[in-house]
Amino acid sequence: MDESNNKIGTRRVNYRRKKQIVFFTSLVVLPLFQFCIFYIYVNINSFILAFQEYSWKEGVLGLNVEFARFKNFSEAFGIMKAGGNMLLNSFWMFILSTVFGLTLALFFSYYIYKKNPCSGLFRVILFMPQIVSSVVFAVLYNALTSGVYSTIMTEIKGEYVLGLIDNPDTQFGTLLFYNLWIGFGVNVLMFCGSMSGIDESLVESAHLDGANLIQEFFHVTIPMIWPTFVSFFIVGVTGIFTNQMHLHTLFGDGAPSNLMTFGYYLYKEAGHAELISTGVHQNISVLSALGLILTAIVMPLTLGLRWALNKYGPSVD
Amino acid sequence: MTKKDKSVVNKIFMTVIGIVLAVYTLTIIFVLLWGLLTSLKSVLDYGYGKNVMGLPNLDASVGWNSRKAFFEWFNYAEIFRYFPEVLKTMKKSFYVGDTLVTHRPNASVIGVFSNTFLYVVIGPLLQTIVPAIVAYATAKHDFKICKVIYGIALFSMIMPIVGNYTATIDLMRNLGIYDTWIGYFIQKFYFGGMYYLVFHAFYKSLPNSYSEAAEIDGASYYNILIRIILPLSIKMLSSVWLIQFVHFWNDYQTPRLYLPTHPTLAYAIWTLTTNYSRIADMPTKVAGAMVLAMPILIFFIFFKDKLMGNVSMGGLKE
Repeated sequence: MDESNNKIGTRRVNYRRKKQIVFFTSLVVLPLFQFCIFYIYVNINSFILAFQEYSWKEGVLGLNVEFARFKNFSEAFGIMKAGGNMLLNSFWMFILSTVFGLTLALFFSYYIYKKNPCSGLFRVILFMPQIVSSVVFAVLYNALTSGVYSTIMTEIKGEYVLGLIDNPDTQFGTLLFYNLWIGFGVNVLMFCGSMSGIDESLVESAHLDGANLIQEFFHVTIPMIWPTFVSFFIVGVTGIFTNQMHLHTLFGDGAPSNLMTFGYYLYKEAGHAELISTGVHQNISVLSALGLILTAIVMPLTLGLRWALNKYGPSVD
Repeated sequence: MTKKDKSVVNKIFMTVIGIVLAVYTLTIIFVLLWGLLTSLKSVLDYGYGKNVMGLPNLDASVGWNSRKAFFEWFNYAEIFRYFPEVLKTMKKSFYVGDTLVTHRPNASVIGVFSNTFLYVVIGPLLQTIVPAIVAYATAKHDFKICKVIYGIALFSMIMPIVGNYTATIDLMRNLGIYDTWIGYFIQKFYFGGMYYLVFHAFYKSLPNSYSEAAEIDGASYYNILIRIILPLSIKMLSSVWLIQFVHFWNDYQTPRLYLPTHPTLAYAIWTLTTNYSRIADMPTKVAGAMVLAMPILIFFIFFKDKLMGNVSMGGLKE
């Protein structure tokens, strides 16, 4: 009798397990298939394309595909060499938006976290550039730093003055400022969220030990939200070569070459790329090779910085 | 340091940050207000009258007054008048193998609005539901593959891969889904990324008692998911959808790359203000920008607390 009950029990468990497997599979199979195609295959394809060269067949319709060895990489290095500014601009952008921007965001968040006057208003305003499209801010900023500035300064000086964003001497600074100006939103909200989770007893004990707000900021607040800071910093590092500096939003495909970043270049070219170069734009294979080179630079940099920040960053102790 | 010194240091520290924040706030308000006022000026008032900073000139005795632009919203009407022309320029030709394929957009305002609807409603919906479902499956089952899926999601989030746009386009062209809605929906059927982790943490912390009770009552796993789990997570699902909605509303770069002949409002406005040489005057361009800004600002007024309140580390908090 017991044996028969056991058998029925085991059968029920097996049946339940089978139903679970069917249910689980039905939930994950399509997303996993999509992931395999649009993440794994795409990245493998990117690797394969980087070693391929396409050409038209002579006399008949069709494409020849050949193993290109390192030709595409050589061309990609050529792009990197010719566009020396792109590397420099990408790093400037990283320093400004990630190092300087995140530091400012920390101070702003601290002000809001401490519920100083107008904290609620500042929080909403800092978030505003995330709500209103960058297209809107780009149009308005472009207009103000170009035509409006030029009109006003020409009136004042009595001679024609170029707009800040049109003048080669000032346009990079104007662009950097724009990126800083509209880049606080999510960082401040996230930092505020993390700061609000700090244990009040820690803050109180720091005050009892005689700490002022600056000391509290550096010795309690920053160590406590350090993991959040590291996350944003790492996101900034991973974005070094994909950050477009809003160049496409401001200038479309016609950004001045001295302002370009790799993020902008890759995005702009991707919109026109074909398997065989049209002469004006790079072909898909060269762009894939460039992407691989940049990934090879940024990947160890990301992992290394992450390790260093976690190991040598401030500790709560 | 005496108590008085400490108080002075604290005040100076916070006042300096407060002043910087106040200046920042003024610049944002100024720019948006300037945009609104400029969009209500006539082209001549702005250009010929060099009225770049002042209020719209409503003096009827001045030939280049802004009465029409101000009272009849002339620049806004111009934007919609230009739309069909701009849309026609969005024709896209590309090769699939050795065959040249040409796609043409639906060059109407209604077409733009229907594209926008599909892009900003269905896209975020998929990007919310798919990570949630996979997160539920992996958080509430003990199969070995669950850990693998979790690892995949984490890996894809932190691994910096640069420049695979072209490989994606190449794949989509070869599959015949480039520049199609079906291709876009398949692309958005992606479970990885931050929200998967957020949902995973949420479902992991959700007690099993609800689903166990339903199971004893004879409910199937699908019934438990649809009737119990999804309603329990509706608050979080709606928050993620809202955040995604704002992002998709503002995004013109993805449709430009993968849906070049299906312009959304953001893509059409960007083309009109940045890439369309026939509109050279600033008031009309700024009016275009305002067309894009107004709906989302109104949306923000209604959902401000939900949007801002739910964002914290990891994206969301309940």
